[in-house]
Amino acid sequence: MKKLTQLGILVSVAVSAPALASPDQDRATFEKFYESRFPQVAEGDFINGVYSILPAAREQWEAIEEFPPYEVAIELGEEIYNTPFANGKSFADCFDTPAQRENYPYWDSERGKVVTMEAAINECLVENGEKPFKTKKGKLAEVSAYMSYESRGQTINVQIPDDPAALAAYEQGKQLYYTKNGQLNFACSDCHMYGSGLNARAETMSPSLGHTSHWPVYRSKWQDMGTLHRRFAGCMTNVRAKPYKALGEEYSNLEYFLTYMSNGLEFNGPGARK
Amino acid sequence: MLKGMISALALGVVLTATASSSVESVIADAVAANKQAKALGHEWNVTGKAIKAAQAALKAGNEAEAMELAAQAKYMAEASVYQANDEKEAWKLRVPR
Repeated sequence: MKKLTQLGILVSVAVSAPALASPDQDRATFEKFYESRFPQVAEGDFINGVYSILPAAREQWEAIEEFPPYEVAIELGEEIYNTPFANGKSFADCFDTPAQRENYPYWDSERGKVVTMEAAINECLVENGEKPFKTKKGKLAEVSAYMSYESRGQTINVQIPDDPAALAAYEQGKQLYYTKNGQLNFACSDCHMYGSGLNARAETMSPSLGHTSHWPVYRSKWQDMGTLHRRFAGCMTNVRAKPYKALGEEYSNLEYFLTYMSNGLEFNGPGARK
Repeated sequence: MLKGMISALALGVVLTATASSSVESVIADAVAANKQAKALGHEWNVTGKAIKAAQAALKAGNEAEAMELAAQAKYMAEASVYQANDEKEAWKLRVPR
């Protein structure tokens, strides 16, 4: 009986050990998973999402990128960025440069929460007496598109400080990524890790490594720009789960985890996707 | 004869009231379970619609349809709570080693 109990404890530790790995260990395993699954993908190319694994679709996408559908959003975003608020200040008073992607998402230890770039844009508005933008598309996606464009080529370098609360936020994002939800009983990892490269109906599911590099995105399905949190909400709706609030804690923590997983890759937003 | 008719009518009223309150009780169970699923971050986007459809059928006097929809809603709500509780540990098995 004693031996059985010991075996039970050992099995339990073996099963739960990966979930308790450090963020660094998680990232190394995550990266290795995709590199083994898609050995043909050149180093750093996962930032191109599904096009990194589908050569035929990539040709069409590269043709689209010659006249990118997000170009208008970048121009509109630049205009909004430089237009003074009612108090005479502008976004330039909140950000020393529009090239901000490399600074987000970050753990704000004073406020005890993850701050994404889109959240910081809205906070800048509120601090200056303006109404925040709607959280998934429109002006927020436009300003984000301009700032992402200015940030192209920056390296993803999310930090998880030595703070239990920061680690807890990271762990919550990680848990959300691997947790099944919705009537269809899917986790993010079911499609974008274990199902990556396979088809869901006519679409090939993209790998999660590099997933957060290219936002916001002009999506043909939307005929519009949308933020990363808009896409998270779309995924949840697809699996018949009630989406969480854009810019809320759940998606911010998920973005924190996923972006950390892509540390070392380049930011290349905004992007164009089907 | 008249007494018999009155009894039958009374029985009909009682049965209808019982069926109606039974549907209401199933809807109430569905609402409570869905609330619990929401609190656990696992509300399904089909459950609220099923609850509303059951309520609408009941309001229209369509007891049988209301009961079927209410039962579906209750099943979905309870399944989402089960999913939420099961996933508290199950997610760890999906983390790559």
